[in-house]
Formats: sequence, structure tokens, C-alpha cells
Amino acid sequence: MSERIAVEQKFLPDLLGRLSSLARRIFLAGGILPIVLVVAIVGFAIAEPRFLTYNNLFNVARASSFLVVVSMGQMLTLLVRGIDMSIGSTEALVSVCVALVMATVLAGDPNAPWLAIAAGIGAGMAIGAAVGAINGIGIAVFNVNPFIMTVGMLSILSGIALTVSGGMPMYGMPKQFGEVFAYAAPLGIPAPVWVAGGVFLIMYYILNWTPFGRRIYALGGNIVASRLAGISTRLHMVMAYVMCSVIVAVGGVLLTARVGTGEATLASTHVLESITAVVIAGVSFFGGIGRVGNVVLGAFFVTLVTNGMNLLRVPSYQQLIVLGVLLILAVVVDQVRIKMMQQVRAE
Amino acid sequence: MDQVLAPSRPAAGGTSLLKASGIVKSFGGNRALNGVSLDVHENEIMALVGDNGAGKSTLVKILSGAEVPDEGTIHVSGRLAAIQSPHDAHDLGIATLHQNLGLVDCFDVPQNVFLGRELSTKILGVLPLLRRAEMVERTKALLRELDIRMPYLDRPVSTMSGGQRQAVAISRLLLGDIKLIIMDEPMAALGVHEGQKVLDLIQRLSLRGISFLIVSHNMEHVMSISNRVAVLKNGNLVGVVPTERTTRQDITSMIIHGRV
Ligand SMILES: Nc1ncnc2c1ncn2[C@@H]1O[C@H](COP(=O)(O)OP(=O)(O)OP(=O)(O)O)[C@@H](O)[C@H]1O
Ligand SMILES: [Mg+2]
Repeated sequence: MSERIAVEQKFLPDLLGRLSSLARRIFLAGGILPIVLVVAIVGFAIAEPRFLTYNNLFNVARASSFLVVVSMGQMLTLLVRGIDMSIGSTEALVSVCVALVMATVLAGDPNAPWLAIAAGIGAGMAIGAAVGAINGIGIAVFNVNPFIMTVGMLSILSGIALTVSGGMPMYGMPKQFGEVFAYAAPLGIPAPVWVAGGVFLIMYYILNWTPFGRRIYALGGNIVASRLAGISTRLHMVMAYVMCSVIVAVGGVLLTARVGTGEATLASTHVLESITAVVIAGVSFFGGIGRVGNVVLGAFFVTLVTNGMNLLRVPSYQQLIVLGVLLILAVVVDQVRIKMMQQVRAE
Repeated sequence: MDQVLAPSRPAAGGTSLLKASGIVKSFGGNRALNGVSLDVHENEIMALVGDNGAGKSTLVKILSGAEVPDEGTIHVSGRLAAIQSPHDAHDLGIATLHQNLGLVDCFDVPQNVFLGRELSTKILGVLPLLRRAEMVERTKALLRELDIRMPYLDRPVSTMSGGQRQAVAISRLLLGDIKLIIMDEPMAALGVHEGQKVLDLIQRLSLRGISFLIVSHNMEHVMSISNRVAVLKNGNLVGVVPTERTTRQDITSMIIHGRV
């Protein structure tokens, strides 16, 4: 009996010690995300039984795919120690132009819906590339602070989008566009999820398996060392912003297909949500650190929280408060994590 | 009295390895280098000394391709060399350890060793693919060859000690066919023991025929390791003297008063 107690007394602190060191390692490797994801799922499942149904999770997966895509774009800017405040207005401008081009081409030849769709998507991608190039050149060549540069672009892009659209929804896109890019579900998986999966694979390959990706991390981690190692830091920085905006344009195209019209006010919450998703996923504001797989989970998490709050009938105004708190907490935790990583050295 | 002693290292051959002539570099109105000429021979260890702000790091940056001079020429093995970037210098066999080490803190050891020179293959002839396993293996081989022991390679170098970080930065230098290693204060941040290890390593590599240009404030190190000492003051070369035929006092006086 007393022997057993002795064993338990040794065993319990031992187990607790191991659990806490495991949690610590998970935290250091992946940030706060794995922990909050589990807490959110368990919490919502207890509070609202409908939450854990297949249908609801299917909905969350589809609804999250847009944020998943743009968050992967946002991730690139944080990796190079920057930020993109203009992603929402990039999506809006893409939406308006995609709708305009599709409607124009379709009006010219009503029998060529696919030509119209191809032209529209092409225009959307080109706008993304141009926006990214302007952001990147402003930041990397003219040394404009990334926040200032992209806030300026936010204003410019949404001004253009509102001017082009006159502030009204833009109609006239071929119906096939929505049918395929929003509502089709090959193998039971919604089209936007397929696209998000494709973007993920490309990002994973580029970031983890190419010299270019390695250098994106390097220049975020130490731009001076990267330059001394012969990396053309300006070019890589510009390319990071171009890739970001092109990916964001993909998100804009998907959302436009989903909404069915070109909207100059599309995706206004995406900036806040994407930064929250990316930071919760452990992408550091100080550059050079972050995994694309975690970013996908982070964006999924943010959508999940929104979805859970909707099910629990949390009014949308208060949801804004929750999202803001989440963002600030994620940044605080990022700082703590950086400190802890530096302390590992002392051990 | 020094001449009596047989030189411990093969005497500097006198064949020019790296010859910089009339190097001028200004930052705004500030002339960091005012027409400096320097000749590093094959198979020698040259020390470069001078007060803070004398222009040592600027010269190092120019020789390593990190900065481009306003005026002046550089010859490598007798041939005019246009060193416009760190890659150019590396292709000519010049590797540099900069004053701040030039490591990416959040990268692990192999990632730092291969920074900017990642190994990759092309799949289907077009898509690049990093050879990550090979980079890890080659890093291990490199460290073994240099007799550098490191407990783990797969952690960010930010978690490592000053000496270990130094070792990573130094092993980086030996990738490729290197003839000259330039080091900007390699022992500055190190303890006595770690500093001695770096000195040993320099000596071992020098026996293999690699030349060194080493910036240091530590006169003891300078006297013990170098064949010749070059002294800079206010962007001018005061002179180059064989270590055997000079004393610490002479060099200190050159650093302070600017004359031989
Ligand atoms: N990037 C730069 N911009 C402006 N001035 C510079 C720059 N780099 C160096 N200088 C100036 O050039 C001069 C020489 O600097 P340098 O760093 O070469 O000195 P140093 O001999 O290496 O000194 P230390 O021993 O302190 O390292 C200094 O006056 C410095 O202020
Ligand atoms: Mg210096």
C-alpha cells in the first residue's frame, strides 16, 4: 500500500512533467495553434451538438477555403518580415475586373462562356501580379515601410474598384463560372477546396523544396546575411509580394464565383482574419519562421470560430470583438514563443 | 633576433594571390578607404589591423563582393577580377567570414552552411528540387573534416553558443574550391578556449595551402598567427610588415601614429 503510494507519488509528477514538456515542445514547434484548435473544437462541440456534424464541418471546410487561400498569400509577406494590408481591396478589385471582363466578352459572343471565363480569370491574375509588383517594388526598392505601402495601396485599390463598379454589384458573368468554381464538387469535395488544396501543394513545394523558397525564409530571417551570401534580396522580396497578390487574386476569383457578382466591397474582413490566421499558425512577425501547413489549419481555425459563434448565435458585432482579441493574443503569444526559443540556448 | 629563429610556417611565397590597387570607397561625404593597395600572397596569413573605423570591414566587404569600390582594381592570381557580388568572389576562390557572422538565426546548421548556395536537382528538367538529405550529409562530412563537434545540426543556430555559431560560420567558408579566406574579427566574441580553437583551425587550414586575411584587434593573436601585418589608419594603408621582423609595440605605434 505504502509502496503503491510511493510509486504514484513519483509517477504523477513525472507524468505531469512530461506532459508539460510535451506541450512546451508542441508550442515551440507549432505555436499556439494545435492547442487552441483542440480547445475550440471541444468547447463548441460541448456547447452546440450541431457543431460536430458532418454537414457542418463540410460547410466550414468550404467556407474556410477562401480564407485558407488568401492566408497562404499573407504568409509570404510575413515570412519576408512584411505585411499586406491591401489583400481585401486586391480581392475587391479583382472581383470587379473579373466580372467586367467576363460580362464584356460574353456580351460580344454569348456562345463563348468559356472564353469569357478564361479571359476574366486571366485578367484577375494579371491584376494580382501587378498589385504585388507595385507593393514589392515600393517596399524592396524604394524602402517604403510595408505597412504604409500596403495601407496606401488598400486605399488606392478600393478607390479604383469603387470607381469602376460605381459602387454597385456587377452582373453579367456566365452562369458556368459559378457552377464550376463555386458549386461543383468532384468526388464530393467542393471546388474551392480543390483550388485551395492545389495552392497549398504549390506553396508547400516552393517554400520547402526549392532554393527560391529557402531564400524567402533566409531573407526574412536575416536580410544582411542573405545579401552577404549572394542572394538577390530585392528580387526575392518583390517576388514574395507578387506571389502573395497572385494567390490573393485566386481567392478573389473564387469568392466572385461564389457571390455571383463583382463586388467592390468584397472580403473586407480578410485582412484582419488572414493576419490572425497566419500569426496563430506560428508565422512570426519577425520574419523567416512559419509553415504553410499550419497556415491552412490557422485559417480553418478562424473560420471555425466564426462558424461556432454563428451556431451559438453570437451577434456579429461581438464576433468582431472576439476576432480582435484573438489577433492580439496571437501576437502576444508569438512574442513569448520567440523569447522561449532564445532561452532554449541557455539550456 | 627574430630572424635567428627558423620560421614555423613556410615563408610567404611572394606569389600574388589577391592584389587590390588604389581602392577608394566613400559613404556619402565620408571616405572610408582612401586609395588602399594590398597584396595577399599565396600560402600566407596576413593580419589586417587598425583602430575602430579605420576601414578594415569596408575593405573586407569590397574584397568579398559585398560592396563595390568607387575606384581601384582587384587582381586574383594575376588576372583582373570584376568582383561585383559575393558570388563572383566565391567563384574566384574567396570566402569571407563577416564581422557579424552572417548567419540566419532561425535556420539550422545545414541551412546556414548552404545559404545562398543550396544544392538542387531539376525534376523533369525544369522544376528545381532541394537536395536536403545531401546537404545534411555534406555538412556532417565538412564538420568531421574540420574536426568540429556539434551536438545537433537540426536546431536553429539561435539556440547555440557563440563558439558553435562561429564553427557553423567557418564551415560555411569551406564549401567549394577556396584559395583565400577573409575573416573579420573571427575571435572577437569568443572565450579564450574557443578563440584558441579557431586559431588552431586557421593554422590547420593554412597548412593545406589556403591563404588568410584576418582582421583582429587582438595583438597576441596577430603576432602568433600571421606572416605579415597590414596596418590601416583613417582609410590609408600605413604599411605592411613581416611579423617576424616587428614587435607588438611597433604595430601599436603604427596603428596610433600612422607611421612605420
Ligand atoms: N554602410 C556605411 N554607411 C556609411 N558609413 C559607413 C558604412 N560602413 C562603414 N562606414 C564608415 O566607414 C568608416 C570605416 O568603417 P569600417 O566598418 O570599415 O571600420 P572598421 O575598421 O571595420 O572598424 P571596427 O574595428 O570598429 O570594426 C567608418 O567611419 C564608418 O562609419
Ligand atoms: Mg569592422
